[in-house]
Amino acid sequence: MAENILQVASLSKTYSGVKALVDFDFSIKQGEVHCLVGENGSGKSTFMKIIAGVVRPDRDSRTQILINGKQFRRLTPKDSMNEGIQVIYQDLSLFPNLTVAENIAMNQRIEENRKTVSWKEMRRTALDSMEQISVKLDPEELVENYPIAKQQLVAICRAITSGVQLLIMDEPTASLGKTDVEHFFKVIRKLKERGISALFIGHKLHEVFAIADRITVIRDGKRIKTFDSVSETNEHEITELMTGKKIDSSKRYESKTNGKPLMEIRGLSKSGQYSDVNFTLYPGDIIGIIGLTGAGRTELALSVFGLNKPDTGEILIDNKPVSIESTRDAIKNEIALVPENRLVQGLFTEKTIMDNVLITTIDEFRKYGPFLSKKEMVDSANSWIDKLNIKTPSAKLPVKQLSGGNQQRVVLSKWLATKPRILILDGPTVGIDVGAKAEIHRYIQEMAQDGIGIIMMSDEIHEVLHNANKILVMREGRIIKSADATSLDETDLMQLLQ
Amino acid sequence: MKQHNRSVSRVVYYILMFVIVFALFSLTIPGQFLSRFNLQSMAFQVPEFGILALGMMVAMLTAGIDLSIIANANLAGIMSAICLLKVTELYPNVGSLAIILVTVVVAVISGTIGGLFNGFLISVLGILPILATLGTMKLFEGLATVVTRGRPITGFPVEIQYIANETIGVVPVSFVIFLIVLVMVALFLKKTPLGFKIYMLGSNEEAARYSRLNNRAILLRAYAVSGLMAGIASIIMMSRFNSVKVGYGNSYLLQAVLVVILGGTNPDGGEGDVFNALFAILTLQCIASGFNILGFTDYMRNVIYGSMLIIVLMFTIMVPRIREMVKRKKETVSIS
Repeated sequence: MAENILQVASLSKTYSGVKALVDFDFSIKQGEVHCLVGENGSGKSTFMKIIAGVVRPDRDSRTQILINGKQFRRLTPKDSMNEGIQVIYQDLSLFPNLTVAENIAMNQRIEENRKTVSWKEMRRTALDSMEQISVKLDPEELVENYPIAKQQLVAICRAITSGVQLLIMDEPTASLGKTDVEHFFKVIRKLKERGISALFIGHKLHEVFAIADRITVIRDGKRIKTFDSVSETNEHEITELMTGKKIDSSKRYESKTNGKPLMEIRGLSKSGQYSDVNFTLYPGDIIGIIGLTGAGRTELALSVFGLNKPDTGEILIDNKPVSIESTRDAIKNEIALVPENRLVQGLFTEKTIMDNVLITTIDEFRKYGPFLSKKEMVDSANSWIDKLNIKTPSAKLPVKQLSGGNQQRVVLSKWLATKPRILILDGPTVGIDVGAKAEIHRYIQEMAQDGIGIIMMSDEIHEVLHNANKILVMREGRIIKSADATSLDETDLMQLLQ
Repeated sequence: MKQHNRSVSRVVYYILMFVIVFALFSLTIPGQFLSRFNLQSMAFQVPEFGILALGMMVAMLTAGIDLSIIANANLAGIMSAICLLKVTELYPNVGSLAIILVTVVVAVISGTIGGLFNGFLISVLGILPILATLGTMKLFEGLATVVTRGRPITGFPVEIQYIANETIGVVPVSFVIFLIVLVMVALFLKKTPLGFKIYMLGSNEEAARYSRLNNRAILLRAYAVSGLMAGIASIIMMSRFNSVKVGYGNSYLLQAVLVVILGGTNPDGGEGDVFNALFAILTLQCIASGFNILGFTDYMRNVIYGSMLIIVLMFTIMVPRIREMVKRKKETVSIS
């Protein structure tokens, strides 16, 4: 039985009356990958910061922090590093304008307090650490010239040179594509072979299951359960534990499709983006288009919205061919889009909830000659806040102060206000908590039941599987599979995406 | 509701700024600053660059700028003067109403066309506002010089001189015009759909596009409004001096940018209030008049205005950063 490299007991942290961590117990064995999963605000990051020595836990005689068998009363960042704990935060904390070698050797050189630079030695250090995890990067290349996945490897190499025993990573796969994730996992397994432990803080459960030895679920600052092996549990159980809510996994969305086709896409192509896309959307349909980043789904969404003119192909609405070349055509055809990048494209973050909700329909509030009716504007904004249950003290609150889930409700409101017939959702729940996700999904299904035709682009299997009645799988710009959701399951989709 | 209270309290800051500056000059040079002559001359000077500043503000709300606004005003004044003199030459007995009508209509149309041209360059061709309007500034100046051969045009009918030189009681007519224009711009920005869209577009151009707004049309109209202000200002300028000339009022350009930013308009677009701008305009007029009485040279004034602009910009950049820092400190005390 391997020894615990880290063991904590009864760890609590209270921030001005709010309990971020409550009597938390946790341990990591040598050479183990332990995943800590929980929703945003569940206390994951607080725990990580305590272990890094950045945040001090509450005083409590029962609290114990044991690292490599040593007891720590007060853990400083320096103690933490000296014990071989290295934290890689989401922003990676690299120097983008320095070379790979400089970044990797940086910590070591600071520790040794050297005044001179030996480029040769630095290069050797870098190559050395890269070899340990079988990674090949050009040590002379500037870090900013590498994609995020490679930059992450640089951060790992830097941790290795600093003598890492326990690597803590905050949502390491958040911005990686599928192949990058696989490569990343290979690197982690290499580290494991060398007896290095890893603590992952994550929320993409299928990835957690692919790499974890043990899984601990945290909710409201409390340890809910630790599974000693991934075979003891499954994604649904973990989700339920994370949210504290029951979720039915066999559920599929059932379209009450009736009548004539709303929109038909025939042989739509745009070179370098997508080719020969065909599908038919009926009122009440939710068509889930699943594809990884770069599969062409966003480009397709923009083409239907008038922001990306296709090269060839036809779009028919109510059986009549239409051209959608600008957003004015989208208005004419009553097409709405919830874009992929909520904070840049979806919202005016500096502006109020009211401004954001009303932007699409502002012309309808002209009541006194050329002038707007403030009262009707406020009433309308408030009615949307009620309808979509947006949690806010006031319609005049800037949108940037809302949580991701509430922000997305604002985006949905602004489009529902236009009474669209066709609604395109591109990654509707990206970066939203599991609990809030379920509510967004419920709204989406309700909209479809009201007769809106919905096209939902996503890279999450569950999202598509449980919320769409038809599923199209998109890969490298092509639809490689088109089927009813009832005829598919998780494994089918997983295989198709690979 | 909270937001509302905050914007009210903001106006208070600008009023306070005005009161302090006014009091400062009143105390240091009481006899001259508080004289009826000085106060009235201030009221005569405010409308010219005040209206130009309003035009500048509309451009800056879209996250742009209109450097051509003075040149556009000069060109509009010259166009208007030429048409007016032609009319009075052809019909010597034309009535007062017609004289004013011709002047106003030509100036307003000319200014608006200039603004539309800016809007075309910026919205349709996608040229950066600062470069596009720098180009049109020189273009308008050049055109005006060619038309007038650089000479002033003078000798307008008394009706024109009346606009900027008569008073209603003690208040200059032009000041009343300025207040009317100000209220109209405020109504336009805060109470019309287009005004609403200008703020939103200025705040996030991409989100505006994704919200199906017609960004081109909005920008085109915003710059047209900026040009319209240039046209209105040109009438007051031509009336006050009974002459129009290329290069007149060039110093207003810096002043206009200064008061807009001093008045709290975000140079990145999307934020700004006309009434805050009003008190910034009044404040700057106090400073200008005060310096005048103290005998500062134009050069000295430029040094001071330039420094003020840089200092105010520094503040507008620093204040959110400081606020962010304070917030971050607070956040480390709250849940992570």
